[in-house]
Amino acid sequence: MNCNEISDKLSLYIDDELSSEEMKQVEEHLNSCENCQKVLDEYRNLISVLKNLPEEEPPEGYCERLHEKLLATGSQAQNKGPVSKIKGFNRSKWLKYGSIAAALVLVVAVAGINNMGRLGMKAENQSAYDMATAESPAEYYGGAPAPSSAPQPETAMPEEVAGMEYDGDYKYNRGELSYQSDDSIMITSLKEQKEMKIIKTGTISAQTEDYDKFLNDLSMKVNSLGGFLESNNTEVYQVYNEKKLMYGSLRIRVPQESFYELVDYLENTVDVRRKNINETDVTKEYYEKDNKVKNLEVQEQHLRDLFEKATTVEEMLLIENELRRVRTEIDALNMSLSDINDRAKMSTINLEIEEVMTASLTLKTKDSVWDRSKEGFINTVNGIIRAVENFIVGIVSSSPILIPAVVICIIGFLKFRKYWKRGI
Amino acid sequence: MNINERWLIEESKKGNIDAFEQLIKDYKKSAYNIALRVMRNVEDAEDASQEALIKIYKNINNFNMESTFKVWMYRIVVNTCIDFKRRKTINAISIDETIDLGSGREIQREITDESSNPDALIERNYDTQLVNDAINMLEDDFKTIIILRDIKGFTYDEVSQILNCNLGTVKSRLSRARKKLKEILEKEMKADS
Repeated sequence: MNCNEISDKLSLYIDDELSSEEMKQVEEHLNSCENCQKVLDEYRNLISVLKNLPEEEPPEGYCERLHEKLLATGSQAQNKGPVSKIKGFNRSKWLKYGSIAAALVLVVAVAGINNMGRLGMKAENQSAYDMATAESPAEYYGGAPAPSSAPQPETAMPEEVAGMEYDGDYKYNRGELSYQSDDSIMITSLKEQKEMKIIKTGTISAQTEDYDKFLNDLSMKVNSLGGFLESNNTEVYQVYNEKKLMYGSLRIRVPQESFYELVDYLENTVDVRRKNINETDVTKEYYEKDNKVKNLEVQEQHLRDLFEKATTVEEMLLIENELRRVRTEIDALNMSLSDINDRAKMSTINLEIEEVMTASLTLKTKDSVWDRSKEGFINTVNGIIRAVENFIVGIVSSSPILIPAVVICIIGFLKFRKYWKRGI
Repeated sequence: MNINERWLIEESKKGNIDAFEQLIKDYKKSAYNIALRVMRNVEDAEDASQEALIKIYKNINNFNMESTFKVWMYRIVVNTCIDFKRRKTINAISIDETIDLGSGREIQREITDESSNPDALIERNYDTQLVNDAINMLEDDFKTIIILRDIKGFTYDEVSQILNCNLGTVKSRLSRARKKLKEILEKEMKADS
């Protein structure tokens, strides 16, 4: 050990705070180094002087003034002392819980703002999402030509959804769709205002007591709605007590805007046993095909120009072949387009109707207390799940703001606590 | 902590001012002196030390007997004094001497005479006036640790509790503080000689 190291240790050596080994090293060095010994003596001297420094007497009247101040605080303590103690205690508590509450409020606020942005778009977003769910390759149910004016879809119609509110003529502005789930991005990429192509299909099984009368009424109703009976297969399936019981398989086509009116009508007149309503959004598919047609038409025009410029027979033949291929493709696409148009314009209902002796017309039974409460319960649970999901989404999506905010809160809180501690 | 002190603390907690005054009887002089060293001005020292003592009285309910009362009290005194000084924002080292230690000047002269002999430097006692000046020139961290350890004689452990820092910090800071103090003294003496 050299003198510098030793001099750093001298202070501890004097106070006996070194480990026994260090102690020995220092002692050894001191025995051999006169200079360090001198420094040690200086330190010792200094410390002894410090220890014996005379203390100043407090100025006269110090104790009296202190006593007065103490009395002042004492009387304070008597009047509101305990209160102020509690206040002080509460203050720190308040601060603690206050900051937690503030952080929570912040969380909720940020999440709320986030959701509000979403809610503002709810109408569009909801339908966009619905379309997205129905986005899967369209299933075709039938066809009849017509130009299109497509209605707003409600949902992809799971079971019985009262969709009658949606029989108006809606146009759908896709440009407005700027905020939505990933599923619907494809749809919104079509920026221009385009009509929706929704194919509505219903499959209904029902029972009636008087088949002929029902069929009569039905065809009148369908006609009044501007639709028609596409097919009608009627057979006798049972003879019961001299009475022939009929079974019919009907396919009804009605303009899409009257679709739900007819479904409603059927539900009110016959005992519906099974109902399946499908709305398929083929908008994306339709416009993809439409674009393809346009591209092909441009290509066709180009080929025609080339054809006119062709000089050799070989060239002409080649171009002609190509032209034919393009034309065939265009025709095929156009056919499927008109098919989509047709099916979107005219909805299809497949109705199976069975004549029975006594139709169990129990239309209102489903509204039993038990069912209603079950439904309510499920709705509530779903609501809670949705709320929790929204909350989590809100938290996660706002975390870039939230995390710094929380960090700032914590730092602030710690800072205050530090200050508070020192304040004592 | 002796039984008497414990009893006085309990009484003080109930708001008994007499008991509290009895309790701090031995400490208030120390508190005043610490304040005086930090503030270097009699009026401020009185204000700061009394503020600290009142704070102790107000917060005695928070004293949980974990540490000794002495350590707890000094902690409040030191913190209050440092805070008080900060509030006054004294940033310039005052040159005029406000602590009047009597006829320091003449004694100093004697010492300077002696100190002209280099060998006498070790043997002769440092003059208290000179030492006080030197302490005043220390920065607050060094000053408090010198006051607590060397003037008040607290153990390293107690110092670490009072200053709310670990033992290693106390050791190194004290070592540096003493070195610094010694340097200042030697410089002053050279200047005087």
